[in-house]
Amino acid sequence: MDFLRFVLDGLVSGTLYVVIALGLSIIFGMIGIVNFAHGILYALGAYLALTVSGDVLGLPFGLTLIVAPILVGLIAMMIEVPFLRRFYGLDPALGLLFTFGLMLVGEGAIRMIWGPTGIPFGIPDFLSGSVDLGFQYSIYRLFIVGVTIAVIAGLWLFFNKTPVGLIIRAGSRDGEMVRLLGISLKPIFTLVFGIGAALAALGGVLAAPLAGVQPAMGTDVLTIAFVVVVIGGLGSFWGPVGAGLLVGVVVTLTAAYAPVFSQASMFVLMIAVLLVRPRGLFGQKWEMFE
Amino acid sequence: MHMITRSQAMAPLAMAAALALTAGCGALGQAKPGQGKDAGGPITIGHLTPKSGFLGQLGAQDLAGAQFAVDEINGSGGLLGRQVKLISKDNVDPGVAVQNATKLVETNHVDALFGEISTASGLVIAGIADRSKTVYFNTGWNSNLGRGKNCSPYVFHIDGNNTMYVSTVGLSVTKNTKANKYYMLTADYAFGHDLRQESKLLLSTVKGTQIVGDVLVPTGTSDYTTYIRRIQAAAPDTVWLNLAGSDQTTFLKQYTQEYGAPYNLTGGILDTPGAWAAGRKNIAGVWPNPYYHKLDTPKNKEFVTRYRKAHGNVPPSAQAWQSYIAVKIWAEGVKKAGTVEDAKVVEALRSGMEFDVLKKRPASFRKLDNQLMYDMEVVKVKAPGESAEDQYDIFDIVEEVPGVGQNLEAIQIPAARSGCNMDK
Repeated sequence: MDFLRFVLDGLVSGTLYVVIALGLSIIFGMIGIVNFAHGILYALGAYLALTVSGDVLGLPFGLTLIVAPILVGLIAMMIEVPFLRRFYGLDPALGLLFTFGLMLVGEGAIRMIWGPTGIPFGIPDFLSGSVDLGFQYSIYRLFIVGVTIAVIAGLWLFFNKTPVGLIIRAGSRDGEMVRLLGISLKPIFTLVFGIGAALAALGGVLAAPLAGVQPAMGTDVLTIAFVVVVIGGLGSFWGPVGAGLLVGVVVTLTAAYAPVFSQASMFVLMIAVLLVRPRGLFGQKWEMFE
Repeated sequence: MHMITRSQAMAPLAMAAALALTAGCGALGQAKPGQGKDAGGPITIGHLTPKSGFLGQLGAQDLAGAQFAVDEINGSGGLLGRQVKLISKDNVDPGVAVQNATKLVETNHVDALFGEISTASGLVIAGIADRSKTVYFNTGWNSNLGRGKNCSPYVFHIDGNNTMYVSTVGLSVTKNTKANKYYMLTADYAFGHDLRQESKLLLSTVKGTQIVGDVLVPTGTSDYTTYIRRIQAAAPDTVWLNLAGSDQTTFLKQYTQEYGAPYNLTGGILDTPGAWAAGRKNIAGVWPNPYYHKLDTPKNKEFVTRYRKAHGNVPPSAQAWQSYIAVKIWAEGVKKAGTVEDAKVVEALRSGMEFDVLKKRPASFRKLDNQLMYDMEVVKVKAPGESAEDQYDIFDIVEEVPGVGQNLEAIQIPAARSGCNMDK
């Protein structure tokens, strides 16, 4: 009975890992850029959420959840157009280095604008506390599960059922053909980067009430995002979903039975997966390299 | 005509030059190590602290307190007639700490070292200070380790040690509540283990207490759901936290917001800046603190007012207070010794001097291990409805330990356990 409860806890906490990792995987799968700025976009999401929900605009939490990621997506697109797109199709190390530089600049900028110390961000009152569903569950975490399901459904529909989504997938698989058909890929890739950034930011907003908002918050989450994406398969869509849930379960079970190893457990899992199935559990779908 | 050859001319010239040099040196008295420091120009001190990473928030406070003291000294005529210059270094880890401390001592020839928050870095700097005979003030690390076997007469501890923190809150909590079942959560690294050892020792001295849970938590854990579940299963009276840095506040936020803080809460440490960052609504419990800005003494009120004006209305945390008084205490030692020469300053500081630390009674250094002894504050997070001055006013001071009338030695590391021997 205890074991079942811990597994359920793990699935619930895993959904946050899913949101955190999705953006990273999509950007690599579609554009081929390893986005080291992922962590700083996550942090920026949390900070902008603070700003729009605070004295400046006073938005309620539900709206903040939508507005902050959109703002980050827009900022990311404004960086992509003049700078990032020059690295497409080149040695992946170049895009990686550029985004790494973005991360350093971004953290410095956050410290300058919002200060070096953490800022309070609480769970909104209507989502606090827990509810008894057989086991006691934190309402806020169930909320995160709901948001994750909505986001995954929305993205799936977008990439499979909308013309723009299909163009994105076609463009990463065979860019030349799409261009010959008269469709310009540049704005498409900009949009993809914006979506990936918005997803990172969404992760930041959701995590902020649980872990706090401070300038270094992006660095730790970057490691987790990469681990989840590697386990799931870099570049795939369902990879981070499955891997995120799996990592959630593994970390929770380790915390329950052997807490000392709980932080290390996700890395052990990653090593095991890489040894047995280097492409990741759900295979890599490098659309742009197939 | 007889021309003097160059070699013949050189000898008297060289002699003259040598005489001139020694005459100059002679004017300063006999050349001794460190004597050159009193020569003139600014007095330089080095400050080392982590300005980034998970201790970065505290590091910023550490530097702010020290700089504030330096500015105060310079503004009122300097020290021994000379201005004080502070060189600040970012110690992101112990490896960098070695390089920075060495550079400050050997290249910058600083007259004193201040700082550090991480015990690992602090121990390393203490070693360098002892070997180079440079006086060093520990402004932010609590481990008993550096106050024991590895103690040095050149290293002075301004921040409380773990025994002080744990005794303060332990004595207060066990006296004021009937709670006797404790569940302990400890950060799985040196500082956490140290706190845990002291906490268990203290609780074992109180009759009727029982430890119903004792779990190690890896640092950097972001999700405490499982740990809270296990606490609920054990149903203690009080949860005792030995977590560190942002982990403390992450746990508190989840424990309070998601589960309503079902049990009493206390622990070995809660950094005020971390608590400010979490927000008063999102934390709870009773905690030990070397200092809280609402301390009601005239000297403290004046200090806080001045500090707030200079720092955008942010009050000084315990960390800032610690580095502020460290610099002021060093200055007092220098004034008494009449020189910045380290050995003389050490002698002065260890001669039983009393220092005004803005509290109800003065502080002095413990002869055994150079620990600055003062009353610690027991603070309780304000209840949700309680009135507060502003977003920084998050605690009520419950009491002081040991408190006026009690011996300050009561919360120190017992001599039998100390392991420190300054006369080696």
